[in-house]
Amino acid sequence: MKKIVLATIILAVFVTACTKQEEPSKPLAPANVITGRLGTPEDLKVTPQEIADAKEKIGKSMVGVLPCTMTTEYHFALGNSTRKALSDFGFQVQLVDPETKPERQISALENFSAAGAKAIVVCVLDPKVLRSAMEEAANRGIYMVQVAGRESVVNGVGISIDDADLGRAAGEYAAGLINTEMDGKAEVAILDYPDLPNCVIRADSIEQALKELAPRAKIVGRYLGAWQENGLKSMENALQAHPGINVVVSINDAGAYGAMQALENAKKDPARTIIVGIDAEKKALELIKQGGMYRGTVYTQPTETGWLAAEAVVKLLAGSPVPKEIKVPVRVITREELKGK
Amino acid sequence: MKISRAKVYEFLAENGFIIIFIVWCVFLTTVTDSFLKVSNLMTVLRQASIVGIIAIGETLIVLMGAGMDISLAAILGLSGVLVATTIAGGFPVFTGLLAGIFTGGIIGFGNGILVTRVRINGIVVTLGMMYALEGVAFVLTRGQTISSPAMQTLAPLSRGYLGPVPVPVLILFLFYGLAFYLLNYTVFGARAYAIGNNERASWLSGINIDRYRLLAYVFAGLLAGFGGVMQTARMGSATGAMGSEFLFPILTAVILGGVSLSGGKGKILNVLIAAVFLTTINNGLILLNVPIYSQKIISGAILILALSLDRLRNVRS
Repeated sequence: MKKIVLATIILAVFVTACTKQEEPSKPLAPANVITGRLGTPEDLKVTPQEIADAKEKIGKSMVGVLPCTMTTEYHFALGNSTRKALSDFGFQVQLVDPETKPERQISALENFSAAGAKAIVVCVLDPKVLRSAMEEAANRGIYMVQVAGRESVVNGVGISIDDADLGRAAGEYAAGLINTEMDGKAEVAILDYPDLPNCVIRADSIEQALKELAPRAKIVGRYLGAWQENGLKSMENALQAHPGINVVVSINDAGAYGAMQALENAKKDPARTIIVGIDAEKKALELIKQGGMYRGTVYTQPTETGWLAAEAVVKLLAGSPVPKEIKVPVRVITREELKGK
Repeated sequence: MKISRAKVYEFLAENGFIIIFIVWCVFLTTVTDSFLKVSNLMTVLRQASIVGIIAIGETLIVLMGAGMDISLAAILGLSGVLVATTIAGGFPVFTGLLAGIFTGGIIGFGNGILVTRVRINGIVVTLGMMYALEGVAFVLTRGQTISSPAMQTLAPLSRGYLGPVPVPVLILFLFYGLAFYLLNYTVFGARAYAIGNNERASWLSGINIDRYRLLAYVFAGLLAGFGGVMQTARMGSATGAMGSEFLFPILTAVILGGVSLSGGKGKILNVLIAAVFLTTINNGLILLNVPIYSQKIISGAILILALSLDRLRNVRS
């Protein structure tokens, strides 16, 4: 009996000694956000004093970065520039790649929260799926900076280009080319990606802009895109049903590359075929510059958005007032612009 | 002449998904103008070629009761990335090609060793391998698309024609011809079926089961590596995520093709038909102008129907 009591006491002492007492972290004040007006990138310019204040607030804690994926050029640039900018400000950063799976984003948010993150930069894959996890993190006093879709942001700032703006810009540009180069008549295929609501918004806006601005063009269908392989397969099949397809407008560049291959394989005349993408990937810019059927891509400013996200973290931690929603402007990069460079 | 219910049942049990496939093809031929066109049929076969080729390797593994290789799609991805990186790095195209194929073989060897020597469950090993390989592919590409003008020399492998037949289709049939011969007319094939059917009896008769299973993993890796080469040729570039779209079709082709997951049963030509069937589903839905949002529902329904009929075979046996 004595041995058991002694062993229990030794074990209790050992466990107590080994258990690291967590330092009670001070809860941060709610985000000092301004509502009622849409902010611009100018609103996020940080001062050295704000950086110093933010560093003091964050102490030894870290900032979580949760991109949508790291396997596309756009998202890689966004995630990487966010991480780099935060590191440059002197913060500890932890990045998790959820590989476009919203459920992994939920786990990552929970893990960041458990690890004592003071702020999280998140590219929201599906606002409805992520809402409760984001609210939970916000309730723990964590500042949220949301990139890609900003309406659902809680306790923080939403910085993004509107997917509707992106789609609209691509649709408008394609409609303009159809009207000037094809006398308003064309057979148009739209590359969509129904798995992600943000992509559907882009596709809807592309379709709407085309219908409004090039009403005589025939939209033959919306097909699966987003990845090069999907774009290639979809367009190979679509060309069997609609051999006259001569315009493709895609929700991103990756899908458009595949469509371009299918159109080239079908021996479409590059001078009478138009492809417009979104994302302004390096490869898309090269293709546009070459002067073939790839005519334009909408610049989504991933690197700049990443920097803005990092600046928003600084503002929030420093307690400076910052607009709740920041809109990043979009523009189409065209052959003319690239040739002029 | 009266056909008994038992005969109908037996016929359905034997031919399962092939009947649904034929009905689907007849339906598409009737309803669309373009399904039966040579150009469309070649498109379907070309699209089925990579999945079909890799499914041969998966079939070998499953036939021998060595589990299931979940990592083949990831091997495809990594091999593709290596091919692209090598060629973009200025090495000869042939070097890139060999790098892709042999990387697949080496990974297959690694999987095989872990399964046969270390005795870890095949699904567990290859699941872990899949994640590791996806990680390596990502590290190599750093999220970028890898392409270079030199990669155009690979193009004939995916876009070339020999007469009216696309090169990938020829490769597909060549590989299936070899696999058919291997499984039906060689000692290797007979032993592969024997191992899957009755492992203990095979062992007692002196068959080196581990060596055969290891070979199956190596073959599967080599074929997945070759699939990576073909996919890189098809896309003219490579990305870290390029293999991710292949996992589901490869496994479905093998299961739909009637290869018994417990091993020992399955016809290689049915796997080919299953791979083509899977491709015609997507092709047909586009030809039918089915809205993109409804395509998944119909694809799923067709697959369930095909698998249900095929299930009769198992019930019968």
